Amino acid sequence: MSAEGCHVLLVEDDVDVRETTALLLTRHGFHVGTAVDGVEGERALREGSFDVAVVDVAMPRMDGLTLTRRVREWSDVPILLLTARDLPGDVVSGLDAGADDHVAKPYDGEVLAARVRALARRPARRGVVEEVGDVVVDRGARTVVRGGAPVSLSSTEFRLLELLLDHRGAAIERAEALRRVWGDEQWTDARVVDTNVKRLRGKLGDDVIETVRGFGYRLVDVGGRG
Amino acid sequence: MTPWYRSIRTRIGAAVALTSLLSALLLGLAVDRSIMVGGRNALRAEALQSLAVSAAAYDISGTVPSSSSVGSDATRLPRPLRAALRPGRAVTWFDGHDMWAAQRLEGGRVLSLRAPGARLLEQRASMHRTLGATAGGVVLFALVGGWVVAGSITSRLRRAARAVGAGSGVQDVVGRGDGAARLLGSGPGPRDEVRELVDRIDVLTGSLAARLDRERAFSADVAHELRTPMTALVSAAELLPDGPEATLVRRQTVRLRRLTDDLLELARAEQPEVVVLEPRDLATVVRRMVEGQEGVTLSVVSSDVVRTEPRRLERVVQNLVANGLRHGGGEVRVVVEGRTVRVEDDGPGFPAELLRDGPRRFRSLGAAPGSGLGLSIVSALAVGLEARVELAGGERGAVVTVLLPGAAQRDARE
Repeated sequence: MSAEGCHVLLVEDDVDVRETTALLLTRHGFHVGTAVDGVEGERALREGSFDVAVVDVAMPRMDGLTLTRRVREWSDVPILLLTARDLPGDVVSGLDAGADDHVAKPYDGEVLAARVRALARRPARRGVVEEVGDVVVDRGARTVVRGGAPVSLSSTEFRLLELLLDHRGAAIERAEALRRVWGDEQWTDARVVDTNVKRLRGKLGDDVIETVRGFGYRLVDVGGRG
Repeated sequence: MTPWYRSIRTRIGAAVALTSLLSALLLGLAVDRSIMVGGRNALRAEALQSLAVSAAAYDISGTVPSSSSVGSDATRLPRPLRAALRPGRAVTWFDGHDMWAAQRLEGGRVLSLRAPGARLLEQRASMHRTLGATAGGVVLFALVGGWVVAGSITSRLRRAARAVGAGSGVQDVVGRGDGAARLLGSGPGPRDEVRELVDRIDVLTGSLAARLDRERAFSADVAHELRTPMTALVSAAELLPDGPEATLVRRQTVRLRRLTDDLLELARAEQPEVVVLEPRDLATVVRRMVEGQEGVTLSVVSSDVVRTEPRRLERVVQNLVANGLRHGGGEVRVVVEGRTVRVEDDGPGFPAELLRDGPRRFRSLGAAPGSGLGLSIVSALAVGLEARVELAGGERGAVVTVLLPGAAQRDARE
């Protein structure tokens, strides 16, 4: 699938990784801009117009997690974090800070490109308020209301719900949910996804999330905006 | 576990009992001698006095009291007494029961009497009985006392041995790396040689734990440092135009990448963290892991419910399978039996040093190139899973057995 016209900002301090990754992404059809640390990255995002930001977690002056947190205050541009396999804590913190996905170094160029493409494919303007049946989700305020009454969700449950909303119309694989919501597909048991879907169903209603046998879950397409 | 007949306790107890028995015997002997000497002296004095009375009576009346006898024939007297007879002097002799006294009177007649020593002997027998009973009691107390004191020493020694893991290796004690090494503790207790030994062991395990920690930190650091250049290298290799050189470079980067990934996995596996174990049916979990994998056959002899963490267990099995496939000539058998998972191959088996010393980082097994980290990763993961890993196998192939904790138990390694 083509990536034409997709602008990616790569924020990475190591010059070799930055150059090779930028080349790689360019080969895959992206327009790539670069920044050497969090400070430059923040400026670039403010001044430019990027569809996806690929951010390294460990950088001088401002690291990837701080950058993510700051950017999230004024933008919901999709952010992919470049993480370390042996530092799982970073991933969870990153997701909590507002990152959308992550890939561990050293990565396959194909995998990186595919994940960037997936993030870019997300609807250009994330509706701040979305509806699913009688559930209203305000992504800006991070609130959920069902039939007029507010529903309290944990941050994990909210992230899972957002993921389902992002993929509205399509099913999401359990492994991807593990990676995007829990930040770890290697060490976490997939049953945690099932448990949380059950909890969401308990809070939002049984007919909001549909199980796709042997694969994952999908939001039921009943009313609401897509 | 030392059997009772070889225990220090038995030796100490026996020594104490023997010593007290000997002491009692010596004491008894001394008392006995003293009684006899004193008793004989008293009996002698009594006999001499009676003899003097009899002599005086004879002088006066020509007769003697019935206890004595007078006669010209001295042959009826015991020989030692006869031999000692001197004119004008009384002599005595103790025949073992009674005290004899005799005197040669003027005119050649011999006056003699026999004083019964029954009372003395009775006294002696009574003392023997008392001493015997006392000695018996003393020996018993000594035995019990010795047993108790020795027991306090041996129990401390045994506790220390248990804490060190009695043969399962240093890994047991220092494996968790969370300060578990100081198991022997500096608790209350006499500051004696046993304490000295236990403290030295503590120091040793502490330094071993520190060494292991440094080793871990080192390989984690290496992995960490390698990550960035590896990332650039892997990406650059992908960017190369296709061709024979590119293929060569890519092959090498794959190898380097595998090594780095293993190092990172090892660093991750060794991070001390609480692993939540849940009851699972072993065969079901393993089947899901290996089904569909080429070159791997699964057989289930029997299956138990084990307490485990499926993701880590999967890493263990996958690492063992990968090892088997790489070194073992193409076919790997995974066997589930009860609480164990066995991974067998038909390769050259484990080298003797590995079986003896256990897995060490970077010691590659056999001729085929591998990162050599697989077994270290499996060991590290096993700690978190509370599982026990055993390596076996010679020329017929390698066998790795993983024993998992059962649903009811606390620890498979006990």
